[in-house]
Amino acid sequence: MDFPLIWNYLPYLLHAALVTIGISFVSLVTGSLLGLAFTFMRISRSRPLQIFVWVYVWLIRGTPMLLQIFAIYYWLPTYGIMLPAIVAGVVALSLNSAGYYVDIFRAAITAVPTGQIEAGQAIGMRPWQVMFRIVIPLSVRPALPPYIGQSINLVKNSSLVSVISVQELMFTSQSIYSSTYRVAEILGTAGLIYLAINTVLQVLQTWMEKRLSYYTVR
Amino acid sequence: MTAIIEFDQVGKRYGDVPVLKNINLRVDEGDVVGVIGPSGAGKSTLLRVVNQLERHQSGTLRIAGETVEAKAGSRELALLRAKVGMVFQSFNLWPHLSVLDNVMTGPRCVLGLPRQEAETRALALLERVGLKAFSDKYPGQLSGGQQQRVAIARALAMKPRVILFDEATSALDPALVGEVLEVMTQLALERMTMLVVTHEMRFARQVANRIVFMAGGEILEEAPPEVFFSAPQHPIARQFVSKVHG
Repeated sequence: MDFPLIWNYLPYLLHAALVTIGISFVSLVTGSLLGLAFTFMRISRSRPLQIFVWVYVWLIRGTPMLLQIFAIYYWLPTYGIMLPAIVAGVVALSLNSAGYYVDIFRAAITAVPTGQIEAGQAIGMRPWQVMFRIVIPLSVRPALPPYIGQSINLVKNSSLVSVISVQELMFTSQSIYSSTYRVAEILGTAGLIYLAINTVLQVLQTWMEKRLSYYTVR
Repeated sequence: MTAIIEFDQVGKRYGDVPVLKNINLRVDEGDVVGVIGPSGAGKSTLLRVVNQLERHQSGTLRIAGETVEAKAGSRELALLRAKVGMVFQSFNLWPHLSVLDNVMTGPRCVLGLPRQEAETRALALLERVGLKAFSDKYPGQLSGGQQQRVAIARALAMKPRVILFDEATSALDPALVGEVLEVMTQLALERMTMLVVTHEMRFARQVANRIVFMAGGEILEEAPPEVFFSAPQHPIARQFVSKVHG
């Protein structure tokens, strides 16, 4: 192991890691909001909205992420939509994660016991009150583990946007080892950085699960 | 006498299976009506039609003088349900809210009461069911009997015209049934209008002023408890009474 070399390149890697964190975070937020919106459409009574989301999830899950990135970066311009690489990357990651978040949210929402919902209806709550005061709060806990799991996937998938030259951690690592030929050192360090980012998410999950355990779900 | 609940030839079916047939029933203000009968008789469905958790398909239902329209929207339904309290067999307290918030939520978000007023009302009701000391606890920390008493307080907080009890003690440990029946008896003494589906025959006999006997989706008999339990008229009712007294 050439530790001085790692030390020399560490600032570049850490800077790239910030880019990874940035695009992951923005994609996580927009992907989650989009996923939530799609979830409401999916559980709505409107048949066209349901079908739209069904098809969306079908397309996102059924095609490679890499293809989706290329489609947004190289195919959209033929329709006049030209996005800078980093924006295209964030859009791809957001659209992709939303497709997975939909089913995570939907599963948690539909798992809320009917009795809890009926108690809200019986007291005179309107449907949206039942949704926001009962169903969504009760969905958080069961949605948490798969939600964090998918978010960790998102962070790892962000490495794929290196193919459109977004200078995030993976791209930067590749350019360093292709000039230094020290693959083990650079990839090893990048791996540890990914691991550190995802450990934060993992710890967040454990912490939130504890915080939300003031009640026992029967 | 003011009629709170009026069923006029009400019917309901799930597909081809009729679950309520030609129900005629009137519950006046201050009435405590005990609904009894074998399982599958339609007792719970009858109750759930009152607050329209189940919609009926034929006949007319009037709650506090207002006809419940078959095409009532969510707004009309919410207004109706705010006037009708319900206590469920499995309590159905909201586990993510404290006991106090469980009781306050209705007044706060349905009646639009200011926080202070809702809290005062909720605390008074929790005191009434003997659980004021538990107001900061969560439902998961309470026994079944305590949870059901909170559920009663939650229903009362809406100042309903009538409270529906759907086998409120059936899910309880036998040792905890008494504390819930005690609260219900107290309510009856305070002239709360109650429609009570129950398997507690002693309670029905002592607290109800009228017994409705159901089987096969029909009301087969309606009589004061002393009459019903000593001399049931309908053969199925006779059989039922002899069994539960057996």
